[in-house]
Amino acid sequence: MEAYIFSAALRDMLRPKRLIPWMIVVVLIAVVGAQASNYFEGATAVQKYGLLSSMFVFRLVALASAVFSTAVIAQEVEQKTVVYLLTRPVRRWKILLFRTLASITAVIIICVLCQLCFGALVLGPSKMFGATFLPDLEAIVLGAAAYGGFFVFISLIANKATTICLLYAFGAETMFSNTPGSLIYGSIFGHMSGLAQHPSLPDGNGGALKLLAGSMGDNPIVPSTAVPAMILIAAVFMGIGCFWFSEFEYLPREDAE
Amino acid sequence: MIVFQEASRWYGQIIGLNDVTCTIPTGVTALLGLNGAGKSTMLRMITGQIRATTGTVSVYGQTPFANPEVYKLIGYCPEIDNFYEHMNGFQFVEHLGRLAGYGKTEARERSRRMIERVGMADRAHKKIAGYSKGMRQRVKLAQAMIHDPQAVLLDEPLNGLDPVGRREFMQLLQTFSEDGKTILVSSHILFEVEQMTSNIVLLHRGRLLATGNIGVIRELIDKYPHRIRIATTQAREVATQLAGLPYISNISFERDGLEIQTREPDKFYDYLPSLAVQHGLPIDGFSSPDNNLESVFRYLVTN
Repeated sequence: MEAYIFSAALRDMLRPKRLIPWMIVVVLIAVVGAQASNYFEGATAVQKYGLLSSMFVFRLVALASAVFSTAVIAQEVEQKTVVYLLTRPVRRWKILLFRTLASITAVIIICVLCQLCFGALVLGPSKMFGATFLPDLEAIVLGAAAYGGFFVFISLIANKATTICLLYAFGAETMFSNTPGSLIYGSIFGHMSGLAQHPSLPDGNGGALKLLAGSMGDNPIVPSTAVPAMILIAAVFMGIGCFWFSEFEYLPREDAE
Repeated sequence: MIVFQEASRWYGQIIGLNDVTCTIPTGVTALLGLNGAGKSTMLRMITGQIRATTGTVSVYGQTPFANPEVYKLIGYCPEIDNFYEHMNGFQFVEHLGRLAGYGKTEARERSRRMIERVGMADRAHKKIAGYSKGMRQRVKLAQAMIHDPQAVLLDEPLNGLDPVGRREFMQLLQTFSEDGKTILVSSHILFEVEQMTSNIVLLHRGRLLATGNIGVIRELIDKYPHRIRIATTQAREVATQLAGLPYISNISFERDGLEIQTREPDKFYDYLPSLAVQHGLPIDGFSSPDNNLESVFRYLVTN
């Protein structure tokens, strides 16, 4: 049963109609990234990759998570098909948990594809599996889990969840990452960057792009902090989400008589 | 057995269901009421989508809210016309069969049987997006029945169906009720409900107005005399005979007979044959305009 909930949700999330636009985004990111890498003088390929990967690939994790997390329950509520899910003989928390895992898997698949394309074009096929590959992969997987858990919870408690999630990911997180102090600990993106440990560009390089990449300030987060933090964020929000979904009612608003 | 015990449901400051106590027995029961009467709220409480704000709802002895054990016993055909449009009818029913806990083979076999039973076998492999309203209703019914539940709840299943579709759908429900299932059908179209069952639960503005057999309910409305129309070519002679009966409160003449009013219809029906047999008066037919849901509903709701 659990396996079916997961596989059915994953199939739905990755059906061609949904996947093709993401594939276009992936290719676009890789091409734009490759073009952008030509503009940094005096920086090594790995340094360029580091900045652009934070700017594009890690941001794609947040974007895809914001979109896919709404497909877990919020979209079903909006389309009113949630009633079919809620009247099946299966515990609600299982529905939420395995659909959330499916959405995280979908995000990971898309973002890893993006990482591969991006690496192939920016670093070249021979260097793409170098020292940055595994930490980036780990950051993508854990980032997708943390964003997934958090955003699914947001989608359970708020309307217009996608907008809220995107505001968090591209507004609050950019601010947290670029602000000196401990605000960065409240940013999943900050933890992903801390885990990836991308090398900085030489001084005077990057300019405003550094702002977008969240690397204006020093990131005090180290991998040994980032890994448990992201696991904790994912687990806590998934746990709260499962509790919330089991205890509260989910009806389309206009259906209330 | 579905039991409501002083159950109320509030949506903020709006009341959806107000202090309802009733029992839904086996067989076909119609849940009647105007739009906004609380029918869907009642069905959602039974299907555990929402909780009672006060009071209790029990389905086969269990609290239904988010209770998988209850969902094994009930099937729900919602009013909404929303589906996973990218699926075809068979995939939709099979998918919900899988979520009911069946393995792939079992879910497929059950889907095939149910699709066949609801008369969709030849169209099951077309995309739901291209289905007519009637086809969508049938597919919804198939998904509700796939796990062979003891009770089936249908929220306005006849909405949007053409006359032929309605008749076919009602016949379909009849076959399910013959299997000994509890079937609760909500509707605001009294005429249609009347053709399905005489057992009703009548709601108005969230309150339970009446429950039970429509005939019995009608008899309880003693505030209003029961009207009976008698078709006869000798209306005056028949009226003369009836005028002396103590339980006849009014007689009026109509174009092809007369209409009487009585507070004791049973006594009148006992007496009626003697009009023809003992007095030799021609009785071409009789009918009771009050013995339909429309009038019961009107009496109860407007007064």
